[in-house]
Amino acid sequence: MFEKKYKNAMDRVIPNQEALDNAINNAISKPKSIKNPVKIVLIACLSVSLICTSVFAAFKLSENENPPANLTIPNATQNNNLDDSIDDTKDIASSLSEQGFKYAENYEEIYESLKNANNFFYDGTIGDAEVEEPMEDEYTAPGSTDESPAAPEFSNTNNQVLGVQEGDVVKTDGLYIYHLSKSQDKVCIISAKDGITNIVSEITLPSVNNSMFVFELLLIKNTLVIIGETNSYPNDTVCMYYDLTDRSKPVKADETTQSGDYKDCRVVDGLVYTISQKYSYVYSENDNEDYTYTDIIPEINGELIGCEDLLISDVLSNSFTVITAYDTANKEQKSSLALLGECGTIYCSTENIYLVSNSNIYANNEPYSENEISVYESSINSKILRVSLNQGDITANGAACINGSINNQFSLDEKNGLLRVAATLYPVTYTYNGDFSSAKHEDSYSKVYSLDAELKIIGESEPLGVTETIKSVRYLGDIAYVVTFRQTDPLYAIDLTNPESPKTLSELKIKGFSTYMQSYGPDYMLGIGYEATLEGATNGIKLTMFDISNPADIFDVSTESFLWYDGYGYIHTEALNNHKAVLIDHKKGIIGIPFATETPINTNDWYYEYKQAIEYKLFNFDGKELTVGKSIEIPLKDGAEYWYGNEMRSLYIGDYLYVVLDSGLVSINLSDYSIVDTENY
Amino acid sequence: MAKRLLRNRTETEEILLRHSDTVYKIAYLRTGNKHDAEDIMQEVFLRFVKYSPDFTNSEHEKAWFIRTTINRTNSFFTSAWKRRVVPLDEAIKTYDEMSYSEVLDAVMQLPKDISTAIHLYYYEDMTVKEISETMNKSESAIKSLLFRGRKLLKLSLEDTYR
Repeated sequence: MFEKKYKNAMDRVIPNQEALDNAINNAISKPKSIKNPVKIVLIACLSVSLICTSVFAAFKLSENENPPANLTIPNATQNNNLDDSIDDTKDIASSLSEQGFKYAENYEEIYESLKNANNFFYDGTIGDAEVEEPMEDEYTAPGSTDESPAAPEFSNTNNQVLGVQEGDVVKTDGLYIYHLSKSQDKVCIISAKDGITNIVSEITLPSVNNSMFVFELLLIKNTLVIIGETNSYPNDTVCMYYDLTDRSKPVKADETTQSGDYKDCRVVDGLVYTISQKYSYVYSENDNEDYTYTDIIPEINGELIGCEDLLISDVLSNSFTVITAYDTANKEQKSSLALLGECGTIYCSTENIYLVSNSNIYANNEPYSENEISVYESSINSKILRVSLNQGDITANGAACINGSINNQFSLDEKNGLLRVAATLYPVTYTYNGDFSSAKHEDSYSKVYSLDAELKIIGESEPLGVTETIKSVRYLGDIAYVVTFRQTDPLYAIDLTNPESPKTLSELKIKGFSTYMQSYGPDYMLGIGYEATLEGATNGIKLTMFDISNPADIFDVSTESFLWYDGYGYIHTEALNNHKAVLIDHKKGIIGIPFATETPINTNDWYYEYKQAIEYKLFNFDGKELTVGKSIEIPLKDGAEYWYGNEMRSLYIGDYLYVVLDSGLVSINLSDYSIVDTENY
Repeated sequence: MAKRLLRNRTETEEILLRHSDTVYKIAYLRTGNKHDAEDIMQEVFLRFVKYSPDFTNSEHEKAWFIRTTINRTNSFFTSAWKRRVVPLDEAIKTYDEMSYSEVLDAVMQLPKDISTAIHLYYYEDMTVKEISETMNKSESAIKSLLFRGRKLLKLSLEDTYR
């Protein structure tokens, strides 16, 4: 077995003892003084900002007990003198400059910033921000039939926001299924009628010759968008636009490229927004090197992005977040924007894209001094940049700084132009004495913030789940459901009807925790997550149906658990952290979730042999009990890797369910669960 | 700006020793020989002492070391020093005959991103999510790297694989 052999071989790769001892000794005894002039400047800036914030603190009269959530950048916020911060190359919204954003004046500025970033070198991120798939916060809307009047009702990708399409490996318009098979390096277009399927055409992808990775599809009327990434330096994100007028002969109509690894995409009103992340390394030891700007500045379709579309911030970074807008109606790239800054989480409403930074910035709140030792109460902050979609003319028009770190895209929600954000705070007190500081980490806790149209924080909930961290969030109307966890799972219902004073309506404590939640009709909410012991150790997977008809009194109606090492060796579902794997339709009474299992069959001292299987489960909920209605074992192709490369999805068209694996699909009659047809590629 | 934490010699040594194996293995995988791996390990240790970052937990601490090693091997490849023409005998990967392994050799022949993802997944037992955070790529990209890696390995290890 590969794993065993690789482990054995790697176990023998160890450093020579003498070399290791030398390396440690050299590191420890090297003088610690900072010679790099940039560091001296940074420390000077820190001292200056210390002085400014202490001066500010002295003048501040009214205090609430919560630490101010905005990163205190001296000068910009405290004087109401915005002229200081308006960049003369381009007008900029005041909240943007308050948060330290400005447009680049020239590429040289970018080069210097990248060099500083590399010298300073960020440590690893805390790692909370993660791109998750979005889901609607109302009932899953059946697909629209405006394109094909003859198509029966069908399910869409499980998008977070109604009207905002997300990418996925499977798409349907009720007549055809479009499936990206990563293992086969092709997209199959399959006709589907009454459960009978036929492969109508195939698009062979460039990934077949190992030059690309292909990730997902978008479907906009008669256009199929295939999104991938070249896998040799410099990595570019590629969008291929196919014309589907004749499904049996799809024709590539256009192709766009932008620098960077593919990050995410959205479609709103026929406009495709593609987001990528480009890393640029500039090393001061290479000062004699000839760096051309094409090495470091992002390109759109082969052309360097202009400074008027290039935002720089006061946070050092060696990566760019690049956004482009493509108009499928007029078949043209409409606008683009790049930010010198890493993006952790992306949330998109019908009006705006919000980019949330990775949380590695520390806020200086109210520092105070005792005997020349300064003490800072700090926490991790996340910066939020709002980019208005503007029908494809994307513009950065606001920024905010939130005390805390964001779990995933479901932590954000925009309603009536106001943004709500749920974050976990990690307060820490640093005692600063010259060069070094010692840290005292306090209990973590979470909050839900309301921000106004200018992205100023206007309301905060009370601290939630002290000592815990957020595991999942779902906004349904004006109620925010927040799950925090360390040992037990409090599920909070926070009322945001009055954004200026969020109110905790109820708190439900149960074992385990949900990593994903979706509404099931107006009265219920399904939580998918982990079972855990009373001590907080996870020991399986569970689905819980919550009664949310009265948010002031939420309770768990019924739970279906699948414990590890109890019947199953190990069971997993992609639904735990990918909402696109979940099919929920309250009106049709469908709850469909794919599971992957691993059962040991031949154990001895050395290793387990195990049987891998895929089971697709349809759950029933009658208002009282959540039960497995039907469990369908999906046959695996010989030797198929079932964990990855076999991203499972399901969708329905009329009365037929289609369970899609990477290497084929199966159609099932929903009335008797019989298998009607299969396709294997 | 991340704060630097005061650590005494014992604490620092302890932390460096804790992660020396992890760092060395990844450096070896990505540079292909033990001399460069030792150089990278030294660089990573120096950076740890210089920046002395604060960590919220042990996962964060390990992730820092892994990420720094990956970053240092990136700069290693693109620095002017490395780009100069290297004579053939210096460039040959040196293997200790006793520890030669077909499987390891096959992994080391893979593109760097792919071999790193494979190593983090199979050897460090990290989840796709953890690997995506460490390597700064989307989970989709990591899955592709793993899938592509397995496919390529299968080709080069036809008899020894499974």
